[in-house]
Amino acid sequence: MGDVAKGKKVFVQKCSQCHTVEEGGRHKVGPNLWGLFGRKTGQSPGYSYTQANVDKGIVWDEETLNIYLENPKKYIPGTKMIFSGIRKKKERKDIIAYLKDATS
Amino acid sequence: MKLSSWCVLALLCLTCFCHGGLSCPASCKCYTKRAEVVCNEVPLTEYPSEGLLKNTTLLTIQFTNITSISEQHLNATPLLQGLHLYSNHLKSLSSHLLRGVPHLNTIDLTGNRLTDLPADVFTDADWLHDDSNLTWLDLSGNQLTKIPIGLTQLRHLSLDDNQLSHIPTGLLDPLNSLDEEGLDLTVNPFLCDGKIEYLWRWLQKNKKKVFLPETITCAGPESLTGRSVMSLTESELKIESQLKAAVILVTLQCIRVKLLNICLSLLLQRFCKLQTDPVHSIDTNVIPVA
Repeated sequence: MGDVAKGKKVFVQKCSQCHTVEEGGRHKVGPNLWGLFGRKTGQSPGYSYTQANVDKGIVWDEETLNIYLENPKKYIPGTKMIFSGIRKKKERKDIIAYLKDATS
Repeated sequence: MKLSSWCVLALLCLTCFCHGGLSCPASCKCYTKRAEVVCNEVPLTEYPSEGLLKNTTLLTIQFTNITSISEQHLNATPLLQGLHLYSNHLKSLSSHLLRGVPHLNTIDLTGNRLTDLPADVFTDADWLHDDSNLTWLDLSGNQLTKIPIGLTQLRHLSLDDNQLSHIPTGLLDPLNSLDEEGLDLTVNPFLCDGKIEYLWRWLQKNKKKVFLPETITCAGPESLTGRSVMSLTESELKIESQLKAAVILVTLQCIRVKLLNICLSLLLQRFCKLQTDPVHSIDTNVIPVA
């Protein structure tokens, strides 16, 4: 089980420049992440995704997020997201725990 | 019967051709709805010009072996908005690279093998002025030793994980469109000698615009290795430049002393010669009187 508090720290440091998590939060460079878990790729309302992202067609959960966050461009070639990834497995686990908590 | 079958086949082939059967570069995937092209993990060694549609807005070439990209390549896609060249073998960018792509807003060059960039690569294009769309540039994970100039409109500039050791005075001043945490200079081997003062001052003044500014550290000199640049004190900066000045002074003194020594010994030699020569000349001038 990931650490939500630690995950929040990582999120703030590495993700909050481009993403918000709260319900009704605005889209920044990247989409607002409310409702992420259990939803297919490219579905945050009002955000302009690339076709490659929408077509990926997987559902976001702990497993898919773990693969994605390690190397986003490898998992979704053609994504607009410019982020090389989170190498440390523990950090990914923490951030996923935080996301699960904060986006639902 | 046979002839008509051949005709039908020929017609079908022609239709296929005309409907853009060849309108996607080999080994790449094309999403025609949004004019996006993705060339991912394929054994490309050259930029995939063949088959690239003119209306392409997003081009992703990643995890390939391409080593260069030129102005001519990009001129083929004048409507390009996003250029994502993540993790290839790019060694260089050509001058005037961006001349033909005035709608470009994002360039990702992360994880290539760039060492030096031509000075004019980000300045020499009509459309690259203060109101241009180019707002995001990622150059992280290369081997750059110098920061490219220009690009005053950038909101985000990633230069982390390169080989930057010095930031010339004034270089960061034109970056006045940066977002909060929009500049990343982490993981670079900065040399904290007297020349670091400009960066040090700029960081103090603009820390909100910098990503994790306290993690920008010194790789040398030995006495300051591992120290955060921002944590350096004025006296430490002064000591570094004073030390340098002292070394120069001492060296000059040594040279002076050595020169003085040479002069003295030369003088001494002359003096000694003078002492011996007159005696010798008197003897030879003595004329015996009969």
